[in-house]
Amino acid sequence: MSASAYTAIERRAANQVWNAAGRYDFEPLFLAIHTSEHRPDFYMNLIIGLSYKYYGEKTLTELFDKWNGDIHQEMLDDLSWLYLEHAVFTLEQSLRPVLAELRTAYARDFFAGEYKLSRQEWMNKNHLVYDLQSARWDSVLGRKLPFLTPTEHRLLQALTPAHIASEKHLEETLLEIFRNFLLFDGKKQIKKPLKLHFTGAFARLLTRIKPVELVKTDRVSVMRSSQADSDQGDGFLQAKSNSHIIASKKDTDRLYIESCFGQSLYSPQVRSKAEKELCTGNHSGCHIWITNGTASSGRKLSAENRYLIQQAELQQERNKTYYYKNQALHKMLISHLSEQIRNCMLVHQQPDVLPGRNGKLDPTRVWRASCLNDTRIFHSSQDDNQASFTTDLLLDASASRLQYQEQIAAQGMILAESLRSCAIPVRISEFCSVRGYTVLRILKSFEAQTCDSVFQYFATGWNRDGLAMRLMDNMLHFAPGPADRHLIILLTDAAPNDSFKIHASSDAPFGQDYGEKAGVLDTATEVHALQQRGIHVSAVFMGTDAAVSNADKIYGKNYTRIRNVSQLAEAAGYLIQKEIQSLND
Amino acid sequence: MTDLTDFLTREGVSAELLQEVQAYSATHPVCDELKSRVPVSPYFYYGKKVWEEALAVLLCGKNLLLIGEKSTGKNVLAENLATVFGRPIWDISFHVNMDAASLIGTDTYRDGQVQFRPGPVYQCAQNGGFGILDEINMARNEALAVLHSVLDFRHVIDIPGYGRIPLSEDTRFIATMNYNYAGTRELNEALVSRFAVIRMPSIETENLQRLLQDQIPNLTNKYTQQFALLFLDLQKKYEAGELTSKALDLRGLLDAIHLIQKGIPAREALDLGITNKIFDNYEAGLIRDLIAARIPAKLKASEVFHA
Repeated sequence: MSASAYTAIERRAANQVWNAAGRYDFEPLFLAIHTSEHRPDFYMNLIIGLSYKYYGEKTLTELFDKWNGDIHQEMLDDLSWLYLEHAVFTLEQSLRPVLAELRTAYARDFFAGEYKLSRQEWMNKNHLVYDLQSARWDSVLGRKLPFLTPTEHRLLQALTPAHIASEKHLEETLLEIFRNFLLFDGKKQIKKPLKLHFTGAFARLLTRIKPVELVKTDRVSVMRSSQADSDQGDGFLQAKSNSHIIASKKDTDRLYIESCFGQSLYSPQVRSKAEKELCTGNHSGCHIWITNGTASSGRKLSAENRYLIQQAELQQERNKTYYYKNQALHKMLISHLSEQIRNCMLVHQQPDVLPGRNGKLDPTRVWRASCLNDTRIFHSSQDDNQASFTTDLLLDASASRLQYQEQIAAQGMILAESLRSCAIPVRISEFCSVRGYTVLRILKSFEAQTCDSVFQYFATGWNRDGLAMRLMDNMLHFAPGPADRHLIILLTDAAPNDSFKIHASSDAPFGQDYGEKAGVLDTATEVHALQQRGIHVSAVFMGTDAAVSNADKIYGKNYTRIRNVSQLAEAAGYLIQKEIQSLND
Repeated sequence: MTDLTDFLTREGVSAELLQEVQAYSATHPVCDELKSRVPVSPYFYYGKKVWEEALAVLLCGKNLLLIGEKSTGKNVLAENLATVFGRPIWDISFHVNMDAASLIGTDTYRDGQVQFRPGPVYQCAQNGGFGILDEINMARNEALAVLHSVLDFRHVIDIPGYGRIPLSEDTRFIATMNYNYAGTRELNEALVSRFAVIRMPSIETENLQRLLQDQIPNLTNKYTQQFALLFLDLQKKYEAGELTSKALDLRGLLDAIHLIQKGIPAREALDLGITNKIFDNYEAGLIRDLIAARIPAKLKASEVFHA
């Protein structure tokens, strides 16, 4: 199943479609959901699924694509579903006795729903479609048909044929009906979107209500996921030329980073020492910032910073709302993942050997039986429930993740809760780079008893993965957690990219961009160095096909690819299970 | 046993194989005190090919490993095999804390001295029984290493301090495992090589319908088909990862149909038999959707069963 990031209701609706189709390997083009009542429409989802069963994914996709984007798309979709409903009902009813009962209930619901519609909703309805639907459901209920014009009557008959079109002839049949009734001549009439270019205050206002094109910059900005232009994918514009860091701006930048992300966990002396150790080679001139998000106290904030903090709080609220809105689904995912990890731990953990009253005889204790009347002279095993490793989930929080903020936060929460219930220490952090600072922000520490702080996740800036790896190494010395063995799981697009250039060296006398080949090579070197020191680094890769070779270079075999961010927790869970197996086998 | 033999004959299982099995069980009688261990299963396994393969393996004196998902009939087949051969069984359910001692036997201190307390594998081996090693991949490989000499050509159990005990020639081991179950181990090569392996196919619609009609003879054809398809819908949803295996409960479905016969409304009966076993509300909702897509809300018992 390649499910996209469905909400709980959508996923239930999709399940109804898959069930009727008898297949789970496609993403339905349509889902029937009562938006006002916030529930799936059972009968129509069944019809959608049955349409996939009888006509196949390819035929349906091609059919609806014929008028996709046309000014009459909605009407043509609705009329096609009238045809398909009749067709698949006719084909399936003998195989599924319940179908007639469901159809009648749906027809009753259709008319009952009329009373709930607002005046505006009535006006939005296409009258031709509505009249034909009323006639269909009246006839299902055995009632007298409403008044129809002769054309409407003929159209209804055409959409309720005695002879059902086969898969091969479906498209041709429907197009012919639409052509005959002058509804669609086969050529799309597309309403072109109005394109205007605004700057300044107008632009700010419009970005709240219109699609925008994302530009990575060295200013921290918190944007809602829906503001990210879905058509952009990973192709963000990069304004590198304007983003050099000048040495004289050092203090201003530090204050900026501090006010955006929170106080550093390291004292100035420790940070300075760490920078001397870490910001060398390809990262020479860079800075580091490790924080748990605690705001700096007693400092006057600029209007821009206040706005930013407000936006971060709003994003946190959106993350929370998304999670709790789909709580039923998320709870189920937590329970499944916990069960899998717990089973894996049970099977693979090593027992402690303790003295017992039966088991394998311990010759060194036999004397105790006769001398001390202590019959515990055998070895018996008891399972060791102490976690033998820690897990660090490191989330890429660069602007390329803008579209997925709520989902990433929810997935982080699912993983954190699952591991917590299995008593595996987990720390969740995010990383990004802004103005030459690579920031590691700890969202949930090993010690934290609750996981709610994961909702603080927001995406902004660039990602200097190589330096983030060095930071993690440093962090594992600073706060190693309750076990000696460490697993780092990274959510990554395997496309390291930072505005801060790599300084000039003998290989590149003019310096070079931290991106593409250089970024990949640097990250691969740092990951390899961590692995050499016994730290297990695995990645959950979510990126383009073109970046697969980068992931291969950086992580070797230690990564798993996901197509959708909703698979993150499951993928991380899989990597953790592998780790548990490798620990004890 | 006669019932089962008749069933196998009806299934079309090779007459030669069946004759050999009958000859075997006639020449290898079971002593009276072990007769209660010869199972009488209320269910039969459906699938001619698997039956023939399994009978041939056991007739050749080999051990059998049945690999399959939940509800593919692994345990039913294992018990049926013991029944048709007329052998006593020892059921050994494997779990993560299983060690060699709990299979072979342990030392215990009794009456002022250390004594050996035989385990199920030891007893099965001495009495020429069929040992059913259920969910064998739940145990640690080091615990299973003690079985190597039992399962291979040596046919002995070597117990340090107590000597080598030869196996009775009638002893067979039938192991079952669910390969995809979360957290289970890979069996090591040395152990797998000591078994003939049968991959258990998912039950087919036709066989499921026959099973339902054999168990509930007055079930109408129409609803035999609907209940069978409902179970297959559950199976598909489980395979797609949308449900856990808890919902895949064939016995639960049979129980629900029996409850309908006793007058419990159909959807409530299915809740009792299947849905209420799922404690996650979201997952339970998915199962109720599956049921609603097959079974009418106001279905009467008279529509489901012949008078």
